[in-house]
Amino acid sequence: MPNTIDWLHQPYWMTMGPLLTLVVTAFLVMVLELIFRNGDRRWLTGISMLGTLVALGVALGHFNAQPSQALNTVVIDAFSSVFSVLILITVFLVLLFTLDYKGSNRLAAEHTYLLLFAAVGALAMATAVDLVTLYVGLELLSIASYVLVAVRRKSTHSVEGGIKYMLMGALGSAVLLYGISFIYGISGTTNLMSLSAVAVTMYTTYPAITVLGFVLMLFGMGFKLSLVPFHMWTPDAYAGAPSAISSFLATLSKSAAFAMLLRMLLFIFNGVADKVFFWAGILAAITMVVGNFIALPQRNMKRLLAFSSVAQAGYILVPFALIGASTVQDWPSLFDSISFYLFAYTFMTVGAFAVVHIVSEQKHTLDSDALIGLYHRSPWLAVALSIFMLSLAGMPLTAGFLGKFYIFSNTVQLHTPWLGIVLFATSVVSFYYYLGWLRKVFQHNPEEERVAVPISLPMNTLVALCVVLTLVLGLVPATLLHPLLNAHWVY
Amino acid sequence: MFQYWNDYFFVVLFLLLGIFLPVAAIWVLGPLLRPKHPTVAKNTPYESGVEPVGDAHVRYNARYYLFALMFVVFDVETLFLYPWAASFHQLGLFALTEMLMFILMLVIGLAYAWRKKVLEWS
Amino acid sequence: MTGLGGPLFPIPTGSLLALGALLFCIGLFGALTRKNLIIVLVSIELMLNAANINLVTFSRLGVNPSLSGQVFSLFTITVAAAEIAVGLALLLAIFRLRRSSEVQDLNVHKW
Repeated sequence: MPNTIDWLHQPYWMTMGPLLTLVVTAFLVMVLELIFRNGDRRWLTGISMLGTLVALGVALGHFNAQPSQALNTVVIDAFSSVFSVLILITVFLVLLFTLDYKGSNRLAAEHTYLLLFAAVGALAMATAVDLVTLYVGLELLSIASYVLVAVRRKSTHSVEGGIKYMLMGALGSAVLLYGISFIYGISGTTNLMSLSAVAVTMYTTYPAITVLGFVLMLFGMGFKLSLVPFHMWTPDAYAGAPSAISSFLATLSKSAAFAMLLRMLLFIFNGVADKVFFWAGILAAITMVVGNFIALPQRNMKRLLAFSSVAQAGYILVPFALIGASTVQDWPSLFDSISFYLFAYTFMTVGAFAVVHIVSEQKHTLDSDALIGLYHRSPWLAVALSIFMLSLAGMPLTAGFLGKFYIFSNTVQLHTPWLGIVLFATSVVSFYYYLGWLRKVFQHNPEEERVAVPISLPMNTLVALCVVLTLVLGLVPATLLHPLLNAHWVY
Repeated sequence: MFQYWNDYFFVVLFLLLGIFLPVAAIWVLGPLLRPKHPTVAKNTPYESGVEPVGDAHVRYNARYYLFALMFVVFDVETLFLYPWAASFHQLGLFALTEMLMFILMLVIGLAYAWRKKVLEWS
Repeated sequence: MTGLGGPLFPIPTGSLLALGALLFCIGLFGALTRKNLIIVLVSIELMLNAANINLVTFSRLGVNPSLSGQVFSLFTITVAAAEIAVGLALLLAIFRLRRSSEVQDLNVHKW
C-alpha cells in the first residue's frame, strides 16, 4: 500500500511532467477566464503559450533519458519524447496562430483551454502504454476538437463542420473500441507491455479474431486520420472551422493519432506483423490515389488543403505498411521516416494555413482566385507560400522532399516497390494543384490595386517560424535526424 | 451441449408467457369483463385533474436540454466515485488525493456552468 | 462450457458475443442509413454499448479473466456520455441556425 512519503517522491511526477504541466495550465487558464470577463483577453493565450513552452522544456529534457515508466501507464522512451516534442511545438504554433483573431473576429475564449485539453489528450496518446489511457486520450482530443471546429456557433458552416466531424469521429471511436474489446478478450490485459509478450500466442490461438481486431482498430483510427474511405468529414470540417483550428486538425490530431496507431499496432501485433500489416498498405495506396485526385478540381483553398492533408496521411501510412515486410532491425529507420515526415508536414501545413488565413481575411473569400497577384501585394507572403507548396509537393531542397525520399527509399529497401511507385506517381499528380497555386501567386493582375496585405505581428512570426523550420529540415536534415537516430527506440 | 439446449427451453417458455399474458389481459379479457359506457368527459386525456390544453405534440424549451446535458455529465462522473468508495480502505491516502483532484476538476466545471449562466432560467 | 449466472441458467460466452455483434451491426446500419441526427447519435451509442458488452463479457469469461475489462467499460461509459453531451449541444446549435435536425439538411458545404 503506497503511503504519503512514497508517492510524493516517486519519479513518476517527472515522467508525467509535460502532461501535468499542460493540465495545470489548462485549468489555470479556465479559472482565469471565468474571473476576468472583460476586455481583450488574448493574454490568456500568452499564459497558455508559456505553459506549453515549460512542458516543451520538460519533454526536451526527457530526450535521450533512460526509459522509465509511471504506474504501468505512462512511459518515457524515444518514441514518447519525439512525439511529445512534436505535439508541444504544434500546440505552440497553433496558439500563436489564434492570437491573430481579435476584435469582431475573435474566437470564443474557450478555444484557448480547449486547445490545451486537446493537447493533453494528444500527449496521453503519445506517452501511454495502456489501451484504456490511450482511448481516453484519443477521446479527450476528439471531443475538444469537435467543439473547436464548431467554435463559431453563430456560423452555419462552422457548426455543420463540427457536427459532421463529431458523427464520423464518434463512429470511428466506436469501431476502434469494438476492435480493442476483442484484443482484450483474447489476451486478458489492456497493458501494451503485457500484450506484446502474448502477441504470437494470441495469433496462433485465435488468428481470425486477431486479424479482426487489427482491421477494426486500423479502420477506427482511419476515421481520425481521415484515410480514404473514412475521409468524408475532412473537407467540411476544415473549411468550416477557423483557419487556426483547421491547421490544428491537420497537424496535431494527425500526429497524435499516428503516434497512437504506431504504438498500439506495434506492441499488439509485433510478432505477427507480416500477417496483418498489408491492410495498412491497401489503405495507404487508396488514400494517396483518391486524396490527390479529388484535390485536383478544388477551388476553395481550405478544401484543397484538406484533401492535400488526406493525401499526405497516405504517404505517412506507407512506412506503417512496410512494418509488415520488415524485420526488427529495419524498424528504427521506418520510425525515422514517419517522425521526420510528420515534423516536416506539420511546419509546412501550419505555414500554408497561415498564409491562406491572411489572404482570405483580406479578400473575404476562400476561393483560390484570391491568391492572384499575391506576389505584387506581398512578396514575402508569396515566397513563404511558394516554399510551403514546393515542400508539400516534394521539391528538392525542402523538408517535404527529404521526407518523401526517406519513405521512398524504405519501400525500395524492403522490396515493396509497388507502394513506392504509387507514392511517386501520386506525388507527380499533386504537383498539378500545388504548382497551380504558385502560378496564381505570380500571375500579374493589372486590374488589382496594389494594396499591401496587412499582416499582424503574430502571423508574421508564425509564417517566419514555419519557413525557417521547413528550410532547416530541408537543407540540414541532420539537426532532426541526428537526435532521431541516437534515440533508444523501445519495443 | 444437450444440457445447453435444455436450458433454453425455459427461456422460450418465459418468452411465450411474457407475450401471452399482456396480450390476453389487455385485448382479450379486458374488453370482455369491463363495462363500456363512453361519454365525452371520459374520453378526454387525464392531465392531473386539470382541463387539457392544446396538443400533446408541443416543442419543449431548449433550456430543458441544457439541464439534461448538465445532469447527464455530472451523473456519469459519479460512476467513478462508487468503486472508489467501495474499496476506500484498500486504496488509502493516494486514491483519496486523486479523488479530491477529480472532484476539484468537477467543481471547476460546475463553476464554469454557473458563470456562463447555464444554471439560470430565463 | 463456461457459464455465467449459476448452475440453472449457464449463459455461454458465444451468446453474449453474438449479442454484442448484433448490437454493433444494428448501430452501424442505423448510423449509416438513418436520416435524423438524433437517431444517428443513438445508433452510435448502440455501437459503443456493443463494445461494452464485449468488454464485460471478456472480463468474466475471457481467455484470461481480469478486472480491467470492467474498469475499461466504466471509462467508456463516461467518455460516451461526454461525447453525446457535445453531440447534442452541437445539434441544438445547428437546430437554432437551420430549424432542422435531418442529415440531408447539412448541405452548406459545397465543392
